[in-house]
Amino acid sequence: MVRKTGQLTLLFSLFFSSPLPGMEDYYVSYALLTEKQSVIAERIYISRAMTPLGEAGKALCRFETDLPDFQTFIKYRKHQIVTCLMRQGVLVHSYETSRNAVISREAVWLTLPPVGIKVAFNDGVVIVRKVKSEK
Amino acid sequence: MKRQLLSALLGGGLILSVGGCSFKSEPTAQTRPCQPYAQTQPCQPPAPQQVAVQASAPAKAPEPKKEEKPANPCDGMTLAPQCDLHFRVIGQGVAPVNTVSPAQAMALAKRAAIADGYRQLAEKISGVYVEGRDMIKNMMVQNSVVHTQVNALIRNAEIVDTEFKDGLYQAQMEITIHGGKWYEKLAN
Repeated sequence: MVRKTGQLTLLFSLFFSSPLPGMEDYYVSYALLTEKQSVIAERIYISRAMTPLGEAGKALCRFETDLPDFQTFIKYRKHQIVTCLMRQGVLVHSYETSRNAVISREAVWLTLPPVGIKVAFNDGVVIVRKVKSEK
Repeated sequence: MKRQLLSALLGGGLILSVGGCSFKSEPTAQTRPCQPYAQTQPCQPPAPQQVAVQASAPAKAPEPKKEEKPANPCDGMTLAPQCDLHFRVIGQGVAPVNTVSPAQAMALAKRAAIADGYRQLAEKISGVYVEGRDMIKNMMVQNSVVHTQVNALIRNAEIVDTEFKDGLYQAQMEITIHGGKWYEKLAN
């Protein structure tokens, strides 16, 4: 009886010691190239972190979905995560060349450098949090 | 009889005094005005007394200067510590020609419109590098090339409104720069 109580206490304490249980760590990066107002190339990389990224920071965005898990969510709704991360900052690089007052080249790059996020998926609710920076 | 004489004398005196039959001295040289043609006496300059009087007249009080109103710092054009700046742009994008479905075309046009919106915001906030080269030969422009370049990091831009019409996707984007947070960093 005492042993079971100890195990329960341990499980209970472990459950509440982690502030947000069930969080997974991911790296996300994004690049978009457009030329003359038309998309030429788009790359989205979402990969699971092989080592834990640290503590979870503030929540960036929250989605509600009917998909069963986060892997499926990534497969079909990855742009929602990218749009969410773009609000936190996106690098814009653009150039334009005109010869004799006629535009000859025009291109825009949008780039999200690889950024670590923590994702919690519970009952169809996806919460994306940033990773606390170590100071 | 004496009374009649006395009354007659008094009446005559009254008539004389009321009728203006009084002796007036002729105008002197000091008071006679200048006559342009029939001038018999030299003109006299205006009486110095009047000049003296004018000179000694108390000066008018200076009119109070109109106080210039300070320019409104929150005019929407300049950044000030106590106000915010809003930038709103409309990005435009078209679908590539080699799309497999209208849905894909719309999705790609949306990406292009957002990218164009971000570029416009970057131009407004961060500025544009411009480089131009003109080659002139025999007083004629032979070749003219202009390069423009934008490099920026944009945060907290929001897509306010979108519209897809006739193959053109328009995304209205907005960004707010809070003066209290950014004035010191950007002003220096």
